[in-house]
Amino acid sequence: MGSPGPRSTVELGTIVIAGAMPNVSGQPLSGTGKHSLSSLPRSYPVALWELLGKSVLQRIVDRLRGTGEQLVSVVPNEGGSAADEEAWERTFLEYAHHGVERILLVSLGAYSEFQLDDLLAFHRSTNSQVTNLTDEQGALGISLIEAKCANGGASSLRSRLSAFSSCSFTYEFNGYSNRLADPGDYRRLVQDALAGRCEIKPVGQEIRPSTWCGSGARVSALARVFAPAYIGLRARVHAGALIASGTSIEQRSEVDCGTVVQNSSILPRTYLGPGLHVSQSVVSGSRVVHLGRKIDVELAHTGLLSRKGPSAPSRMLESLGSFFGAFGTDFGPGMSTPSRTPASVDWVRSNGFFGS
Amino acid sequence: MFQSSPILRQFPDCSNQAACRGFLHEFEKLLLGTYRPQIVFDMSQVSQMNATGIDLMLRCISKIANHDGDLRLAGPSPETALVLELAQISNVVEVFNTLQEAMESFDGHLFGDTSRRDARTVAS
Repeated sequence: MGSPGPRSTVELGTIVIAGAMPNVSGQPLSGTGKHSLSSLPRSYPVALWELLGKSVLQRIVDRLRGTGEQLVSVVPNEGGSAADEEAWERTFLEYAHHGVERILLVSLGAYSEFQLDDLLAFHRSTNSQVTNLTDEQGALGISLIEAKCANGGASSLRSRLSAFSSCSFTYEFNGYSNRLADPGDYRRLVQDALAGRCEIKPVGQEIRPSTWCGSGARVSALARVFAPAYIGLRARVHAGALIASGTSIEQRSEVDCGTVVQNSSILPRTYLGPGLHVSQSVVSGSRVVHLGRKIDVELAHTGLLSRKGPSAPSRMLESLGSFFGAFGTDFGPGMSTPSRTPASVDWVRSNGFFGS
Repeated sequence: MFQSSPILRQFPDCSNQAACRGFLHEFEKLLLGTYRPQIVFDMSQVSQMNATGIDLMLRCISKIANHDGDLRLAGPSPETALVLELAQISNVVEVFNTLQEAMESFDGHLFGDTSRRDARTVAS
C-alpha cells in the first residue's frame, strides 16, 4: 500500500459506478430478472435517462445525500481488462487511503430504496467484511465493503475483494427495487412513480391530482391530459393532443396537434409530429422502442418524429458562452440533468474532503 | 359492379420516388370504373416506410375511399407495422401478417362470415 496520508474518520464513502457492476462477490451482481426486451442486442443506459424530471443516477445521489451521506463519487465503468485498474478501484483505494472506514459500491444497474442505516446496522452486527444487498430476484449490485479489505498484497483490488466473497454476508431487502435492465423496466419505474408506489417524486408542480407540470411547461387549453401524467420542464403540448394516463413527457419535448400519447415515455427534446399515435413506447428523438412489439427502431426517415435542437436564444447564449469561455455549453436550468452528461466524469465529489 | 375477387398489388419500394409515382398512376387507372373494389397491398417488399411511402399510402386510401372500396395490408415488416401504427394508418386499414390471411379476410366479408374478423379483433 502507499504511504499513510493524513487520515480522518469518515465512516462511509459511496462510489456509484455508471455501468455494469464489477464482480466483487464472485457472482453476477446485476441480477437475473426476466426482461421483456432480452432478445434485443442493445444495452440501454436506463439509469442515465431522465425519469420524471431527473435521472435515476441523480435520484440515487440525492437519496444518499438525503441520508446525510456526503462523500459520494460517480465514476464510469471503464470495462477494461482484468489487469487494468478501473476508476472505481482508484476511488476505492483513495477512500481507503484517506481513512474512510466502509465503502458502499452502488452499481447503476438497479434502483432500490434500501435504508442505508439498516444496511449499516446489519453490516456492523454481522461483523462481516463484505455485505451484498439482495432482493427476491437476486443481487442488486450494491455492496458494503470494509475499506481495510483493500489492504495487503500486490494483487489487484478486484482479486483482493474477490477473496472475501466466501465470507460475505447477504442483506435481504424487501422494499421497492427495479432492475432497470431495459426500457420495460424504465416504464415500470415511471408508472410506479406516477402511481406513488415508490419514493420517486416527479420534478414539478402537481397541478391536479396525479398530474405534474414542470416549470415553463405549456399545455394547450384544447389538449387533454389524463392523470396520472407528467409534463416536464418547458415541454409543449399542442391543441387536440391527448396525453393518456401513465405517460411522461420529459423536458423540452413537444407533442404536436392531435397526437395521442398513451402509456409511453417521451424522453427530453423529442418532437412528435401532428396526428400520431404513440403507445407502449419509449421515444427519444426519432428512435422508438416499442414495448408491445418488442422492437427498437430509428425512424428519422419517416419525418414523423425528430430530436429538437436548442432554441434560437439558447443557441445564441451557448455560442456567447463558448466565446467568452465562461459557461461552456452546459448551462441553463434544464440542462443540468445528467441524462445527456457523459458518465465518464466524476460527477459528484465531496468538496475539500481530501484536501491538497 | 362489385369486384368478384380481391386485387393484389405489390406496394413499391418507398426509396424510389419514380416507382411510387408510377404505382400511383397505375393504381388510379385500375380504379377507374370500379365500384367497391377490394384491394390488398403486399407490403412484404417494403423495407423502410418513409415519408414518401406514408404519403403514397394515404393517397391510395383516399382514392379507394372515393370508390367505396376496401383496402387490406399484408405482410409488413415489424418496422413498417410500427410506422403504420404511429401514422394511425392501421386504425383505418386492416393489417394482416400474411398475404393469405388478407385475401381470405375478403372471402369472409363477402359471404357475410364475420366470425373470423370478430375472433381476430378479440385476439388483437
